[in-house]
Amino acid sequence: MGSLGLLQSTILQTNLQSSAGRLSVDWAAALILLFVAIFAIHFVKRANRQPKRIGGSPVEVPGNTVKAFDIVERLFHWSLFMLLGLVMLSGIVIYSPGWFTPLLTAFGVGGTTTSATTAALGWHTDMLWLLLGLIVIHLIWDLAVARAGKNVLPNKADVMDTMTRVKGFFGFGPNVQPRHGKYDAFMKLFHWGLVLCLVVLGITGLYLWSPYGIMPTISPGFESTLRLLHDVFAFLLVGLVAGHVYFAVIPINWPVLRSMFTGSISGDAYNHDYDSTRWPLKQKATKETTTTTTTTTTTPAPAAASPPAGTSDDSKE
Amino acid sequence: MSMTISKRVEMGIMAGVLASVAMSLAIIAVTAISGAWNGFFPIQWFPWVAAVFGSSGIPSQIAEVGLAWFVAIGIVAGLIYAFAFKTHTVFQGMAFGAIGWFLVVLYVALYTAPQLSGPLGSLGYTASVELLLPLAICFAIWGAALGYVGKRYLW
Repeated sequence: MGSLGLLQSTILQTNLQSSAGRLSVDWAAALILLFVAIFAIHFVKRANRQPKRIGGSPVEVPGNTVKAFDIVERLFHWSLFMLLGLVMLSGIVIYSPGWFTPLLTAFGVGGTTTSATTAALGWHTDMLWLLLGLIVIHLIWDLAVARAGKNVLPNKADVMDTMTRVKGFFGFGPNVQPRHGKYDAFMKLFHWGLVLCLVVLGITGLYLWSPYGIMPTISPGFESTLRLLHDVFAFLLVGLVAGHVYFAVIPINWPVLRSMFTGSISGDAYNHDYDSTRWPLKQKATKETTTTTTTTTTTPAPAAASPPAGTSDDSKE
Repeated sequence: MSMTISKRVEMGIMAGVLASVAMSLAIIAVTAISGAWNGFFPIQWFPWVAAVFGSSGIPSQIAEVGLAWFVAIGIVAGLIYAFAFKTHTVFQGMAFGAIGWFLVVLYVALYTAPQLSGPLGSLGYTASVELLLPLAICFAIWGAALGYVGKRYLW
């Protein structure tokens, strides 16, 4: 434990207090403001009118419930939410001691002293190991067990959907939004943006941190480049995560947000937002509904205890 | 509609984790507001939880242990909540939050808790209110999150 603290102090003095190659505060602020501006424009446009959903055909959903995320996927999501938040906070505290320090005070690692920054570095790197563990679990589960990997792969339809939505958003076409698969094009873009950021941050961070001296010695010029890349992608990550939170909490996406709590979305929300050919119901449910696919509306489950999620969204359009 | 045992276990774990996330955000907010105001909230929650369980070490590790204990207790509470009621409501969750808050009050009333100068009785009225009121709000949020997940699992 003592050697770890000494190691962290040494790294802190040699690497992290150097300002060479750091992204300037102005540029960091500009990046964040760019993201904020995008969200603000989106909010103003969408506050006025929602796009009309097109494409896909409604199917009857047995029990009016569609399983969206299993327990492992949800636990991964919320663990990632917590860990990534803590990694980002501690990263910003290391980038500029003093910033966001109040938000780390509850963990006892905030402050502007060298020992406080050392604690933040320890927190930052420890959380990264947990993050790495989470990502390994996520990969194994989604690729080998749930076999849900193809849901996030971009395809031609995503490109067409994006063009339609962008045209509509800027007034160059009808204000419509095609029904999509489990994840729409922007969600896939977010996912791969997150992957890119984490890969770049992981590689550059490993070089800068060099735990126990495992990384080869690098030239000061290369170190500056790595530091700059680390900073740029860190702030891009902050923007992406902020965007994810923004899009999650706007009312139109509440059914998906709820499903991240409960695992399911209502059949109404499914028919409202999703194309059943691009995100088919599970085999068992599909068999049950093949005889009744001529039905054009979803029948709510008789036993439903509360109004199904998604119903409120229909009133927006 | 009755829930199967496996569904209750799933709901309990999920509710516990989400309640932990919600209360963590609340605790972070309360501590930050306290720091910006006059430092009214006298404890750093996560190191405090770790210290209650006898953890020591460098600050980052104490905080990690505190966070781990906090989430673990949240999951246990979520499981108890899942099996305690046939159906679940937000108010039932908040009642659980009230029990959690009461247990903390009981602890600080009986013991010389970490980061505090002494048991609750020796702190004085203002200090006691400044400790217990923010914690009551945080536990209310914790309980509401617990209850919300339980309620939503029915449909």
